[in-house]
Amino acid sequence: MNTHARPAQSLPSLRADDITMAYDDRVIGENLTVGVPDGEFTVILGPNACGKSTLLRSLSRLLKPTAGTVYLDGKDIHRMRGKDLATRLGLLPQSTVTPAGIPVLDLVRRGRYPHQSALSRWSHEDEASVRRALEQTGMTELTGRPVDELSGGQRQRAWVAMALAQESPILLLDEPTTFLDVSHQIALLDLFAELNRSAGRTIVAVLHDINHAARYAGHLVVMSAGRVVAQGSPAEVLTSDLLAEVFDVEATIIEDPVNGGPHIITRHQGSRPAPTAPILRKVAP
Amino acid sequence: MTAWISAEQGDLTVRGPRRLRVSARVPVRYAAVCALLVAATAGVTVAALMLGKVNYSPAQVLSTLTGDGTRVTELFILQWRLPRAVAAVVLGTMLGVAGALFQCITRNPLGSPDIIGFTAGASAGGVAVITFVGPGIALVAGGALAGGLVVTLLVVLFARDGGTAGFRLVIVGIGLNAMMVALETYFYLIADSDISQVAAVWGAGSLNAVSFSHTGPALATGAVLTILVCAGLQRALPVFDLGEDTAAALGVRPARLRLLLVLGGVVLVAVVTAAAGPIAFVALAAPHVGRRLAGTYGTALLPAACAGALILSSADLVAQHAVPGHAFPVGVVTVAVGGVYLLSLLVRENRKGTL
Repeated sequence: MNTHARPAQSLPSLRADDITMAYDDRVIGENLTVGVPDGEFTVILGPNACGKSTLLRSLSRLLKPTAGTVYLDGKDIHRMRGKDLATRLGLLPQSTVTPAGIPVLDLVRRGRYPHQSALSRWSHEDEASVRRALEQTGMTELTGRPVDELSGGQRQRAWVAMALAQESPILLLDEPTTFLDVSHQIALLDLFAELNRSAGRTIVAVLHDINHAARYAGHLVVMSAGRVVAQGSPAEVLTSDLLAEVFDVEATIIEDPVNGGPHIITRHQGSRPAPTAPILRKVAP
Repeated sequence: MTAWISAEQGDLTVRGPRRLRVSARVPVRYAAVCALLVAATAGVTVAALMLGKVNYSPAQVLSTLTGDGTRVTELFILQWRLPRAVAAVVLGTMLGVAGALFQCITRNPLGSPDIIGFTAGASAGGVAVITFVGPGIALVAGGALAGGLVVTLLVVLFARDGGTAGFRLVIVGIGLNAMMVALETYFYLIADSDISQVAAVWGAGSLNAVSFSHTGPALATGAVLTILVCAGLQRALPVFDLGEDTAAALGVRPARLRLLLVLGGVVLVAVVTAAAGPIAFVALAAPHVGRRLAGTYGTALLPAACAGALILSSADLVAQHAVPGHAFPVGVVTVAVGGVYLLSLLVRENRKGTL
């Protein structure tokens, strides 16, 4: 059973220490300090253009902070070897390119790159990891199908399988559920939750839907206008004051009937008048 | 545990003892196609050595190659025909690899040096040097490289709003190609007629003037470069094909790799252009042909290299012998065949909507 190598047992600890993020001269956020709790499902939440994806890019070395440092296991990630980092930290970016006609299996196999070398190009571990990634994402039956002919949900699962084959203890996901219909969104989020629970993977995802975040996240990082405005468990963080401040919505927070966590009922946008009575009557118990 | 081989799902997997960490996986179809392409190229090369003013049998060619020839067969086969046949194989390989690199970097099946203006620029640059300076190979190489880089830069600048993908790149490339052809014609017209003759033969892309002493150094450099490029980049390219962010997440440094790709592609095309003039369309077609035959997705250097060698050596065989007593420059054949190929490619890509 040893071939079923679990992600490394040592505890990963990914954190950004007082970083400034900028594209060329355009500063996206300054003095951000963010910790990613080990073994948690962390969700980064915030309105459009608040710097969520930029934070994820900074955490995964796609963007070098202009000041401050991102540490992984106490080391500056910009001083680590590319493959060393890649075996510890995986990322499913927003912008991926699917080579024309590539079958699912071929795509997923490419996720093994950081574990390979000029001599070791297809080890037992490579094979086992790919098989496991396909099983976990439910893609085993579709290995021969071209990725560009799959449905949106299946295509995203194929890409998740590619990232899973990387077998990194930390997995970052940049808006993985965008463009998917709600059943595929839930299926994918359930998969991430399962990976987090059963394999102890640290998951960090940028999401748009506040209630998805509240349901699935163990830890929330809420951003607004390039700042981190709150970090903590959904129950601590999601208050109506915060929602008014960050998302400009008036909202009531009730107990989620499914798992007892917070659930957000939006009433109206902050600056607009409340909707008319009939709608409210329908909602009221 | 000893080394073992297994075949599964069309793949051949070879693994050494576990502690040595030696393993490889080769798709059977990929290996078979590359082997077939190499065999076909060898066949074409033997044919090229057989045919000419004096025809020889395959047995005579083989005995001459292994050192048992007569003085006459050695003169014809080894001294006259072999340099040209070797040049066709090596230059074709280089063009195939260069085309694959260009298409990888532009992420566009049409992004070959012929389409994005590099070949036309190199051609105009080379002809300008022959016309105004002289026909030394190093000078012509420099002129070709400079011309190619300038035009490539212009194409990228003009097409930058549309990215390097899609029709915009192709259309800008076609426009600049036409201007380069006009410029080249102008150079021919203002040059002395004998110089213009030399320039025109070079400008058409020809292996007629190939000899070991003249083109040998370029061929040797090119062969070494090709092997270095293939060995150094080949493993990272399938990952680079998934997008720069994905590549970075998998441990590749995309900015550095991109630079190496451009450098490798440009230098390979420049060396070919210096040695034989601008030979069009091999760099465009070879990667597609290789990829389709070998059943690979994204960038595949080895099939492109093998297909390039077969295409150019076949084209040169046709150029020499299609019309008895009249040897065309090989560039004429590749342009004629390549033009038809480009048309079919445009129609196909357009239908798929990938442009």
